[in-house]
Amino acid sequence: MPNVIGNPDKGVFTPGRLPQISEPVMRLNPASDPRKMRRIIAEDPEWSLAIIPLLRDLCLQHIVKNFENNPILNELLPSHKAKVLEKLSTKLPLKVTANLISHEGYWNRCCTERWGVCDVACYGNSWKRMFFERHLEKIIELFIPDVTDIKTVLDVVPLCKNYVKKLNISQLLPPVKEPQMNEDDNASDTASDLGHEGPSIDHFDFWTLLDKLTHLEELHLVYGVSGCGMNFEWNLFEFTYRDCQSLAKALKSCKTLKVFRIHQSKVDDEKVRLLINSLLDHPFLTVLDLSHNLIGDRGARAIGKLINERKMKSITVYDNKIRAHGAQAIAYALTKNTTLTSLNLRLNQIGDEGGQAIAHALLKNATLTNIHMGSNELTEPTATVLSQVLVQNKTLRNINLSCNRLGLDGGKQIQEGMSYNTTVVEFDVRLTEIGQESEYSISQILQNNQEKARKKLITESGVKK
Amino acid sequence: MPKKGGKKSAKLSNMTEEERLLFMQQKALAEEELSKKKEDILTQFLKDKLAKEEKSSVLNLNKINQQWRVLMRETKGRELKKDIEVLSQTFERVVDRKDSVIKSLAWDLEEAEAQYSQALRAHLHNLDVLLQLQRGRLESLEQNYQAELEALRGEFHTERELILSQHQQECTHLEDVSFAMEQNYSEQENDVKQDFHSVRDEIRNKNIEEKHALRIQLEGTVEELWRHFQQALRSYNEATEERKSAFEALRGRDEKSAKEIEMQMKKIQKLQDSITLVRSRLASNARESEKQNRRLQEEKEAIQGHFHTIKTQMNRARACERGQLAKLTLHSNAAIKKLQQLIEKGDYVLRLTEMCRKLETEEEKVLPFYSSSLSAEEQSQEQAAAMEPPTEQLAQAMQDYTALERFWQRYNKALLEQLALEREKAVLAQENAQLRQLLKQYLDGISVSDDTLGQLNPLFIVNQRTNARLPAVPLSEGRVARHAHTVIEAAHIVQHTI
Repeated sequence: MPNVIGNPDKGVFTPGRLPQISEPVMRLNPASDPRKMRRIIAEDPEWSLAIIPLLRDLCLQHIVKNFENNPILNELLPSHKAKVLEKLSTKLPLKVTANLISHEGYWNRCCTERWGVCDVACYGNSWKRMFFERHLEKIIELFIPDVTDIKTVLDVVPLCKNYVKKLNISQLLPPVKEPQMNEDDNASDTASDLGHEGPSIDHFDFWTLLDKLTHLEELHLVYGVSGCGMNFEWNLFEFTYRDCQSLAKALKSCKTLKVFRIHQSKVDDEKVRLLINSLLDHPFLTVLDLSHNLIGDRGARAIGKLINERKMKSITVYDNKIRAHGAQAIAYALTKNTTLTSLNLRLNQIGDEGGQAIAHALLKNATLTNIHMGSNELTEPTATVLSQVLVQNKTLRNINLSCNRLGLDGGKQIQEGMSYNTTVVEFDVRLTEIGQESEYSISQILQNNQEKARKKLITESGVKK
Repeated sequence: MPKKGGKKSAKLSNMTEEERLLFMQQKALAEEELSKKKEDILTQFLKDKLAKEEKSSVLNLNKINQQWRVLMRETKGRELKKDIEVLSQTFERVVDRKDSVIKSLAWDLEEAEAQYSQALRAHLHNLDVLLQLQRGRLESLEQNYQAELEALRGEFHTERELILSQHQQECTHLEDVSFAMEQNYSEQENDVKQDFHSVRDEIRNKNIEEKHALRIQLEGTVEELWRHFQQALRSYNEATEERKSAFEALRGRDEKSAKEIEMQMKKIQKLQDSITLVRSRLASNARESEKQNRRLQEEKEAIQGHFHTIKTQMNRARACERGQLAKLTLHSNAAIKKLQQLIEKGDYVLRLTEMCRKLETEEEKVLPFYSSSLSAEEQSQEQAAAMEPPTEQLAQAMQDYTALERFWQRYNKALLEQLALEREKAVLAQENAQLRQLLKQYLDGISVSDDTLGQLNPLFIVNQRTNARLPAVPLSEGRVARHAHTVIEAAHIVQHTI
């Protein structure tokens, strides 16, 4: 259907705006409009009978072509602006477009062109934000220390610092080894040397970056290489002390950080203590995730300290090497704590001692709502203490004890405890061998609690109305 | 020994020949003895020496062995030491190799452990990402569901309210209508009621008037009927006065007769009772006598039967006794005959013994029973054989005749003596014949007759053989007689054997 510019009543169809109700019909079946039947229906929406385009169109085309040199956008009328944005090339340098264009449609096109399918919901439904975050992530991920110029990163920063809220970096490349220096290798495969002459940094140094990103709220890091294929070497996965120091400095400088996550990086006790030292005075940090590392008891003590000094909301130490002492340290911190809502201790080896310590702490703690203690080699004594907790605690909503050999007696204890409890809504006891009876009764009680919770919600929402 | 020889020769000349001989003999003897002694001494000496030599050789051998052994031990020790050194070195080397292998394996294990944990972490991370996606999806689905549920609920609510309002409207409408209808009906009802009341009053009045009229009429009829009735009653009473008095008298008589009848009835009853009693007693007596009669009959029959059986038994016993008596007499007769036969036999035997006595030798007269000629062994065997129970019939039969052992002894002795004598006789006869022969020969040899000269000279012995024509010895002679075996064809015997 020829898109006549001079007819605003028809409703101009631009990719960015939502179509009006009659539009789809007309677009799908142009012949349905009786006035348009027996007319030429062209496939190109730009085509018009007019051979000579209007001056408006010419101007706009010129603007589009030279946008790089002369970015004129805000001075245009809204309809013209929309047209220009529709036509703008996505390959324009970011320098020009970053701070100028905030129209989501343009950024949508950019993202889809560069990455194909994207899920914008992860990025707060903002295509611009998605683009910049992914762009910056890519740069950081492909950064090879000593090879890539740091300027490439720094140039991008002023462009994107207003839009980057979350950085999810899934690999950090180590410096490349120079071949002539590795002639005198001894027969061991664990080349823990990162260059004999020592590069200046081991991995990308965040220190230079983080303080410039003023809106950054979440940072996820992995000190490893993904997709290395046949070039696998152990030294690609090292998180060295120097790295740790620079990261600690960087964290101190980034004042807006709320969520910090470093996983699969072989972070052990020393390093985690260093990191936590730098995090102790952080103003906004609420969520800390240290999964898939090698944190032991000393690290756990540091975490306990952190829990209380800062107002942490959620701690995840999934898949580490925390043992009973570490768990006891965390439990001690829990007793004094009033802010932590979620604690994930999955896949550690805290054992019964640790489990019991944490359960005792839960008797006193009144803010924790989610606790995950799966796969911790817990057995019956923990279940006993936990059943007491269930009777007394009124805030726990979500408990996960899967993959612990609680046994039939443990199951019975928990069943008893649950019969007094009214707030737990989810209780995961898969692979605990507690017996079908206990599971069934617990599920009954959970259903009751869920009903109560729902009713409460409904009454609250009714009251609100 | 020349010296001794010299001495000997000197001494020899001094003695006589005999003395010299003796002396020589003595000397020889002495020499022999000496030499023998010397030899003995020598042999002894040699033997001792030999023994000593042997002992010393044994000892030396041991010594030599020991020395050899010491030497050999040393060399062996040296060899072993060398071997041990070599072996220790090899062992050390082997141990080192194994240590290195163990180390490398341990290192491999660690590396594998690290790889595994790395892979596990990556895997868990991916799983978590997937789980999050899934949860997001589920939540979005749930939200959709909730939204649709809300939408449905809203629709339902609106519909419900719509229906309710409609319902309300219609209710009010219906109420109005019903109210109007009620009013109508009430008006109609009032009208009808009034009509009804008026009609009812009219009818009532009419009824009352009719009633009055009827009552007056009926009263008149009733009075008339009453007068009629009274008249009838008086007339009837007058008629029945007489009958009444008769009735009274009869009634009194009837009572009296009734009482008499009662008394009679009672008497009759008593008599009947007594009759029944007596009858019953009669019947019971009859039954008892009947029973007794039957019992007596039965006893009589039983006794009769018993009597019969005893009689038959007695007869049978008598017959048996008679039979036995007859047998007894027969047997006694037979026994008497046998005994008489035995007596005759005994007489015969006694006569025979008397006859034999005459032929006995003196020895037999004196010692009729000789002691057994068997040796002690044979005697014991004999006794054992005698003690054995006999198996054959003949032996069993013979047992009865063990008492005749003595007799058999004498008899056998006599038989044996007879046989011996016969044999002797035969021998002697032969001798006699031979001697006669020889005599004849001799006489033939000596005599000179024609027939003998013609023949060869029987006394001429060449090569210890005589050429006399010995007469053919008669075949029937015991020494020459061949034992005549009679050969009988078996077929002839078989016919006669059982």
